[in-house]
Amino acid sequence: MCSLNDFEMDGDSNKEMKKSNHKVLTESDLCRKCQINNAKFILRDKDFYCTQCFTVYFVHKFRSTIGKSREIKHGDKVLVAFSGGISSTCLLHLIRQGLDEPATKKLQFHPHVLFINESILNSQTSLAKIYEEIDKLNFPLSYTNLEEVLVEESKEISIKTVKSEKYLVEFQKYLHKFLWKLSENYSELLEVLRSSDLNKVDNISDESLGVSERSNELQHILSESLKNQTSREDFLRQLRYKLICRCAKQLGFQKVFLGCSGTELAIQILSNVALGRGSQIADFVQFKTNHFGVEVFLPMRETFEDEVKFFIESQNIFVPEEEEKLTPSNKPSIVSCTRAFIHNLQEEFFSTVPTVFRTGSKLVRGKEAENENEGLEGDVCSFCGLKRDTGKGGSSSALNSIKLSKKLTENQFMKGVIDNQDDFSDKENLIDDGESEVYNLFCYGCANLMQELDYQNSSSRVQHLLVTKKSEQQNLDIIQNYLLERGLNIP
Amino acid sequence: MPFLCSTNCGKNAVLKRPKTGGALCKECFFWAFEEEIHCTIKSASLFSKGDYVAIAASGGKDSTVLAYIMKLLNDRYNYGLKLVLLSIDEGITGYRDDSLETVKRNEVQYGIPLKILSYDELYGWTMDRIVEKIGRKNNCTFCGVFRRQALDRGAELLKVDKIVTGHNADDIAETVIMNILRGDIARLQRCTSIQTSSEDKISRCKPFKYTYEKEIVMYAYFKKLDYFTTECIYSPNAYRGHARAYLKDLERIRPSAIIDVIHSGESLAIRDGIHLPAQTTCSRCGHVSSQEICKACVLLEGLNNGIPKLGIGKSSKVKEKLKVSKEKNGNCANCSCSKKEENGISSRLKDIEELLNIEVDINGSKSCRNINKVTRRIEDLSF
Repeated sequence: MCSLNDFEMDGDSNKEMKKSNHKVLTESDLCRKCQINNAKFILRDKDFYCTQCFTVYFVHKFRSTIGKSREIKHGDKVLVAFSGGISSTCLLHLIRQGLDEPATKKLQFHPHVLFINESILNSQTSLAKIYEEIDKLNFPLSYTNLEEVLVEESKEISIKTVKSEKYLVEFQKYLHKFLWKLSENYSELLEVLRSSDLNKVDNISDESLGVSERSNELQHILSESLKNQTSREDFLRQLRYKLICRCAKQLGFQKVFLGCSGTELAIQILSNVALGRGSQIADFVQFKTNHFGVEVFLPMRETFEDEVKFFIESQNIFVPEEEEKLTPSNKPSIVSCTRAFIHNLQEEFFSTVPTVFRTGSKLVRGKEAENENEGLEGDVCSFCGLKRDTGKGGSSSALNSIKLSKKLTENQFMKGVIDNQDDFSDKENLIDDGESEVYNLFCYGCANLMQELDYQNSSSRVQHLLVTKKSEQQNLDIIQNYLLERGLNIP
Repeated sequence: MPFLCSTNCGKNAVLKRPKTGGALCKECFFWAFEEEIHCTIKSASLFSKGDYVAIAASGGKDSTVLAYIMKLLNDRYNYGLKLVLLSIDEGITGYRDDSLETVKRNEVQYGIPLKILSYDELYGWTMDRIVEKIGRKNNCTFCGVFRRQALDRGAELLKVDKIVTGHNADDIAETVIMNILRGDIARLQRCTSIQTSSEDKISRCKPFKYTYEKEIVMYAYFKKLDYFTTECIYSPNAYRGHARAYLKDLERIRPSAIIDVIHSGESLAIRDGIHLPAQTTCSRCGHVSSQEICKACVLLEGLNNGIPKLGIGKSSKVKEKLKVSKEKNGNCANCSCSKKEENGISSRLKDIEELLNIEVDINGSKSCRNINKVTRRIEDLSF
């Protein structure tokens, strides 16, 4: 909307926008908007804003992202994923402020916060600190441990829910009024209410969910099975998406908010390309996407990192976890490399992030990449649940070239076979066997992961992470009694 | 301890393939390398029997290996192709003159005839003189745009059916990243296709699309091919360098990243409803262009009229500037002939005619803005 026009994002002009030196704020600079107050921030390296005008601009950006989509309806229940990081903290504060507005401007949905405890990754965030923050903001909070993602699909994962004190007090007041009129045994009811589960705030501690064997298994996968940092991070990202969506389903939410800023999305766009997940860009950057049957929204997608920082600063907001919590170690990965690259380029060419973000928003999955049997179960990656991009496509593709290279490097007998073949199509059949099974189950990006993990080993926990598919045999079993031509008994 | 070749041929391995990580002996590597390119050519049906094919040759490693491989596969698999080397002389002293010597040696070594075209004969400018004007920044824009067209011109001259270029997997991955950074979605979609597809033009194809740069270097090294290795003396200032450095970092972290990027590029499409510039032909030189006037003509116009920065930056601003400069100088824009153009009433009438054409294009909501523009232009042109 209006905010987008503020950027000059013409591709070619990128080069011309090279900053020779950064502008520096002086005492006398006025806000370009109101022309009255002293400027406190510089946006886009040229526009001066005072705190007030900046806040109006920033909050408007957030609200218009939600508003113009018309996806969030009156009274919707929304699960807001909170990592403790800077942009999801900002998201919670923006929602709180939106809810506190007078009736005409009030945000019309009911948020519920979800926190995933990642103590397994040596994350330093304490649950108590998170709780304290959420409590101040007066949101109901649910939390779970990352390793719960390994729980079998058929079973429930353990999620604890705490309602904040303020929330309870308000709830009680409401009940008081209501019951006063209804019941004469008011005090008795109140007693019941007090002892009820609702009233009890759980013993908040990092161990409240218990250290399970699952945490050991997840540790094992992350440190032993996955050999490099890139795979680890990619794997973890998929796990987080999986777990958030699963929690949402279990808690009865159809809609989820993630607090990714546009800068973060630009990094994701480029690193998705580098990970071979180009076809999935749309599934991670559009405002509304669908993962595992849950609608995921990105209300912060039009804001940028520096703006979020200004907002946090100007409002004196406490951020529980300042550090990026993506990496259990400091080895370089594709994502961390991309992050550094984007940040460096942004320093020099300030339209980098908006350009990458806008490019990414225009991209979707290519038609050729889709599988022929569209709509069938086999069309979806068993791990990330997104459409597979490992269909046949044309016979000349990157995927086929990898398969060929592997064959040629591994088997000597191929030499004689290929040399003697005149008909080329037979050669193609030679290329396409065995090895490629992994590409029939997974998307390209996940196939890279799964080749590192021993996904076929049924004793491995990874099995629980895969979307179970009914095999053809199972399907046959169901209808077996009705198949006459198979010569079965007809009672 | 020596490693054994992973194909079980019994010999000791001499290298680790960057693409798959497998260890191979020299013979098995040669064979795998050649076979892969053969499969790429076959599966994408790049050539048909009897085609006259120009090999774009710079003298660098990629094009030298390309020339060698094309000749080898043509003989081995009986493609039935007639080959010719096509070189472009940009006029960069200390770089291109030396590399052209290499190409001339290749001509003799591989027995493929050579044709050299220079920027000087085509455009009346050498890169050395362009750099004098524009400076070290942005000069790659000129060189790239001109070379692209020069290759096409050369191919037309030779009347070939196809041009093959030595773009390798690294180059293509780099271009994918570049186009994302520049927001050029039209090119992002085109850049991963193995051959260009406009019907009436000579198509260009890239047999090394899936071949790692490292493997090309290894192949040239083990085959002891004669190639030229100096970096272009003007290139360090290019924006592309950022993308290149990033890609090299990615490759270091995960060697499959290069082919992964290409896969990403192949499996992308543009969302419905996004406006893409339609490919048309330049109204001045008749070359393929997305604008009314192609980039090469705009750049030349700038050079010839002493505003070398003209073609660098927004293409919408170029249009305005072109009109202005035309009125000021009245020089013929397409060549350096500096023939005075009729600067009288007829040319102005032509301008207005153009504007009227714009008006016909107006549709719906945009009309308001365009009408303002038209009135403004008409005021500018008022007799």
